[in-house]
Amino acid sequence: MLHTFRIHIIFFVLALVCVAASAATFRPAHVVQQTLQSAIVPVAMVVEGLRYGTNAFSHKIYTHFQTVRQKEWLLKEFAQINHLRHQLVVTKAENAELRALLNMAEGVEGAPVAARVLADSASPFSRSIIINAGSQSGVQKGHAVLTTDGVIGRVIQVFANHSRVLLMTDYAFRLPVRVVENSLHGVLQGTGRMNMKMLLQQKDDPLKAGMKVVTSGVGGVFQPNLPVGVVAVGKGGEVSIQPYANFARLNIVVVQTKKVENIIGGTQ
Amino acid sequence: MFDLSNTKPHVFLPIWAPVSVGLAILVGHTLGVLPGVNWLMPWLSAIVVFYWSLKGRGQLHVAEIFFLGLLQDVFSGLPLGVHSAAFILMHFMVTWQFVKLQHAPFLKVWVAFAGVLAAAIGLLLAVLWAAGTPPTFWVVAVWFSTILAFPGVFFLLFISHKKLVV
Repeated sequence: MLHTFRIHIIFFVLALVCVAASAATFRPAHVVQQTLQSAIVPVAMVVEGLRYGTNAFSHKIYTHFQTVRQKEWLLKEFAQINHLRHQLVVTKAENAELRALLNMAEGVEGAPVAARVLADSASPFSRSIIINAGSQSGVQKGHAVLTTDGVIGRVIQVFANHSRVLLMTDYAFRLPVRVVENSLHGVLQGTGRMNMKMLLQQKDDPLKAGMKVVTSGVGGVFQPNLPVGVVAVGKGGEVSIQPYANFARLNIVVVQTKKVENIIGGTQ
Repeated sequence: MFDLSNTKPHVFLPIWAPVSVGLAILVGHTLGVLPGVNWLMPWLSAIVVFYWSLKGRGQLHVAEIFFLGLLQDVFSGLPLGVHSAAFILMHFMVTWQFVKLQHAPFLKVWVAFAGVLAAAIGLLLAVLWAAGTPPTFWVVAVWFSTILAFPGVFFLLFISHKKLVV
């Protein structure tokens, strides 16, 4: 044990001497260090190669995980952009519709109120829609309702925030109209289908296909010259009016908030 | 469990013991380049020196430890003799407590290693401080990481040791 202890002490002291010599810039110590370094150069080169390989490998792994993280981030970003793009398409379409409505509204008397169609009650007995504008927006019973294409109906029920609009296609709908080409006056009547009938006041001047029908303004509810539809002649010679407005694609409409007078059932 | 005291060493065992220390130095030096690991890299060679001092008594001579320490110094770029002193201290402490640790359960050996390692790191810090190259205190983290790595390295060395005894 004493022998072992002695050997330990000798080498320990030797190690400390080495440290002291190395730290004190003692020339022989540097020579030893340089000799040792020179001796392990081949090993050191191999180790450096391994170190380089390890470093490159770890860098590759790091880059891989970074790429995965970036990919996740990009996918998230892409999903968000896709969502925004979808929203943009919807907003653009809506914007175009609203712009068209605004342009149209310039020729409409009274302040136009834009409204969105909330429900479409196309039952066999009635053709009406519910819009999200009511008395709080200035909508009154009897007001004309239009789209960019033309007249679609009139308000028949008003609530605070909603209104029910009777569509032109409803059987009970009546609208004083005029044929542009020959100034024939008549009353448009809904049929429950997509086309309408025109009850003429003078029957001597027949209607021809393609003639344009507009509001006549008689009665004071609808202002004159709002586009209504076009005359269509069927195979059996029956005449009908095809509306300009597409009733299957009603989304945003404008209520013509003109003051309604002398209309039965209208809020005066 | 880790008792190989009643076995005869193979002729390659006295070669394998210092070679394994050298390998541990090289592996530690190679893996030390990994980003975020360099300051947490376990002091593998300390574990190997401890193992051979305890389990392979006589397989690792003090002179070999001294030169292996010099090798580690050259690789670390530290003043020559710093690691030699630390390794010799570890070897001495294990030899001193050999009787108590030889058949001790692994947990006790693990605790003893923590103590020996603390002494070696303490000596290393003191020597470096005295040599005018004060180390960063991250070296304390090495103590924890080396203790954590101890069971794994110990087990690997035991497997290699078992193959070189009859």
